[in-house]
Amino acid sequence: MNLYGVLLRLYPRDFREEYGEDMAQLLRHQLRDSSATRVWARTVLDVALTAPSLRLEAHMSHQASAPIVYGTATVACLVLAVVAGTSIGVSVVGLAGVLVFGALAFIAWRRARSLEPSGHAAAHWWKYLAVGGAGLAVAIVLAAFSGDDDSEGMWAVFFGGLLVSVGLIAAGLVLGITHAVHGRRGGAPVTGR
Amino acid sequence: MTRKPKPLPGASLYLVLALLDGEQHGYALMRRVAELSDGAWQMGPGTLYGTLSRLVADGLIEETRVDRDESERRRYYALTPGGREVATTELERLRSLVRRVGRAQPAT
Repeated sequence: MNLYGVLLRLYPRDFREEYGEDMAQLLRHQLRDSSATRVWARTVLDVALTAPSLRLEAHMSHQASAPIVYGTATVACLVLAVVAGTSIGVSVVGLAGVLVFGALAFIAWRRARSLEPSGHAAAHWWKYLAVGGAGLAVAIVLAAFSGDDDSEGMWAVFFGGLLVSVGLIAAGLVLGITHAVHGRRGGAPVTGR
Repeated sequence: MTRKPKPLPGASLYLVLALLDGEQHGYALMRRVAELSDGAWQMGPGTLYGTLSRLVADGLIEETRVDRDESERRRYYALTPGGREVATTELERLRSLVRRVGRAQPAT
């Protein structure tokens, strides 16, 4: 059972505090009633499947993060369309992405606005800026040290990293401005958890 | 225009259907789900309590009471009025599906 105590640590702390005791008790009952090998195999798989999604949910509320994710994808597609100006095919794919992700971002934003206290997601603006900046730095360092490696794979990784980083930085800037405006209008800006 | 509610995902569906029988604690729910699904759904602790916490957050179920003794505690869950409505709608959807498929298939 100590092993399960270790596995439980993979779950978010709030969830663990709320349900950890019940989960360990449930496992004890299962071990009492079924084959230990089968129960443990199922339990390890269960942890592998559920812990990441619960962590993700805990880290960022789904309703608040969806517009940001779609917004970032929109900016990334826009950059792709502009950067690949010489290739009509890639530009068309980029513009199609802008339309699709832009529409999804708008729908998600409308939904999140009616469900979440405003400014909640915007309070995390600096995280997007930090991760985007770090990604950009890594992409630049990789490009500088790649030497004569002109393979398509290398360039695809470089441009992919560059696009995502630029998207994250843009999302961070938009959120930062939103956060500042919200703070001026309604007093103190909402603090992220 | 009223929007049709989206069908519940598998684990949530089985849990709300299991709770149509009345309030139950975690282990009883897990066993009931296995029974309802003819053994196809063997929920682990993470799936069970992860889904229960989402259903509580969505207002479909609620914790009704906690029984404690020296070694164990049992938390009981029940459908809220809204959850009961969703569960009966889901049940009717499944019945309707079976009826339609039954009509389309020749009798064996």
